[in-house]
Amino acid sequence: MLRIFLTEFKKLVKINRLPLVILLAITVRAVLCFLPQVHEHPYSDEVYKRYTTQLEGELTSDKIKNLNTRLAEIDELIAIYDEMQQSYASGELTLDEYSAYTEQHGKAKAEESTVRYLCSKCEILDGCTDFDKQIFCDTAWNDFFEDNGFDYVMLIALLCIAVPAFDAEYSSGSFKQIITSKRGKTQLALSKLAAVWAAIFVLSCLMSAVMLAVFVYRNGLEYSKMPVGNILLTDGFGDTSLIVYYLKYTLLKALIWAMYSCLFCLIAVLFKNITFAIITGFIIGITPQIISTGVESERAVYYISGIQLGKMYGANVRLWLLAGIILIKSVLLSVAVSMAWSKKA
Amino acid sequence: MELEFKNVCKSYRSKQALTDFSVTLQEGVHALLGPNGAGKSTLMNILTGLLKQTSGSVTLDGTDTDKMGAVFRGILGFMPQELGFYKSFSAVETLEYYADLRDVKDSKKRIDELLTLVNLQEDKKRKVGGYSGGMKRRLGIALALLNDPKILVLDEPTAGLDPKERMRFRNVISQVGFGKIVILATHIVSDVESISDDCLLLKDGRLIDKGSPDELCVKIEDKVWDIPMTEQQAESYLLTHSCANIIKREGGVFVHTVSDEKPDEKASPANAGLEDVYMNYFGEVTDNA
Repeated sequence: MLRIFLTEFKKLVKINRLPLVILLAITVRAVLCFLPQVHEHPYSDEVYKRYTTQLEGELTSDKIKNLNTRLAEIDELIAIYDEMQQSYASGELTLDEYSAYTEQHGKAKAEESTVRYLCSKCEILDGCTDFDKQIFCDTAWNDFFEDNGFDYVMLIALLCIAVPAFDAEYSSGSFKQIITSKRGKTQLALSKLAAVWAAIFVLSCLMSAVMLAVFVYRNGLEYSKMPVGNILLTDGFGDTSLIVYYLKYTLLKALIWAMYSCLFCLIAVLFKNITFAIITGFIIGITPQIISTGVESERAVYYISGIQLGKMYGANVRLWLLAGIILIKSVLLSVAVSMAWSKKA
Repeated sequence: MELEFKNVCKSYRSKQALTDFSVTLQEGVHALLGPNGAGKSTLMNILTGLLKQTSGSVTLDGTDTDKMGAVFRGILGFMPQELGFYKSFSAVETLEYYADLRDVKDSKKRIDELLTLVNLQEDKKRKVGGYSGGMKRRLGIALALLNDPKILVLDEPTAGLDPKERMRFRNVISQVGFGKIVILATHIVSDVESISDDCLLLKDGRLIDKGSPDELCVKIEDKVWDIPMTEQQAESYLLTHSCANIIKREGGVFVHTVSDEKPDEKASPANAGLEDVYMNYFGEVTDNA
């Protein structure tokens, strides 16, 4: 079985130009990573960095108290603005006093959203119990997680690899010679599928690795060992660090893409038309992303696993269960591909 | 080794492609002769497992070939009528790929032998996409022989080959056919006349006769005639008689024909060949392309 798997993998490399597709996909992904991204934050980056640097470290009640005090000061400074203006106009305040106030007011306005955000974040963190709560400047990691959305480059690369894998026999006319070989139709179909599955799994991991590499190149690995709960603001992940969370997500995503490869192979086998299979595959590939906007339930990812390709996994997602379901779906799709291929033969 | 077809039938909806086909084949070269649509390819597809017969059985030494599965496919070599190759593979890569699929031991040595046998050594590293039709046929023959099969099935193996390549093919079959059951379907009677041990004549899905080329020729020896004619007479004779050939030799033009009755007063008995057998059974002249 290993020999035939390697043979099919070699064929995939040679006929489907696998190295070229992988190289192209990785290059495009890297270029896209280097393009400037726009991230909207509910705070000022500069102020957030200043505050988180000042308060960096374990989240203590003193730090929360200080932040709340500062927020109260800010609220008060903003609230008395009209009153202070009238006082200055009526001569109750000297120019120096009024100037000192406007300076304080300007600073308060600049810091308001950030301190408010930090306070609410600290309040949520304070309610969490199953990880080591820390204050640190998490903007880069937040942006990185946000950038890990649905990967269209991966979808296109997947279609380019998976669809022609089963089409090669149809288009070359080599069907009869292949299926009359000693290896049975089922074994052949499964080997072809395993080769595609492995290629897609590896490609997805490489794509995630490229994203991480660009992130590390730009930001270093600072805070990578912080518990992910500090960013996602929820219990349920325990002490899973940011980097481990990303690696688990990478594997989960790779499993889903590999499952998609089985689905696209099935489409290619059923329709025997490469263009139609690619178009249909593309539509099927993006459908979960469209559906997911209207789906609130975390359970949906167990049924429509593709949803998970557009977002990081949540604390309620039982990772091993989801991975198991994806593998079962892959096996069922593989059986369907094998049966359809044998029948079409 | 004994390959037995027993009452094999195959029907496609309303069309009966093969009817009650029964024959037992032993080691040797067996030619399947018949016009298009006679059921030759259907029979080969059933033997190779590409098609399932509607009824009847195919057994090798008493065991159903379907049940033998991989064991049977392991001793089977098949060259289909329509050959297909991966265009970006070279001949060596193609053979290596199939050697893996067929679990061929010491494949490098075997591939080298076969490339020499089919005269593709010089072009072995060229991409198959650039091969001529004849070269592809030769590669197809090498593929069929890759696992040193005990049963070799060749469907129209010489189509598109030039006379020199056809001669080479006949030599190859004579060389490698010993100890194997070789089943060879063709339109080109001359390709099998000298190498086949027996011929199976198929018409409309039925086996209408079988025997060695000599036996079949003896059966029609009193039906083959040469009629001396002028060239113009011969041409007009051919317009009304499809079972005839014009032969030019010393002494003039002759129409060589097959007929139960003496076709003309001037007609004289002629030697019967396998082509005459074909003309007799199928009522048409064979394709000598």
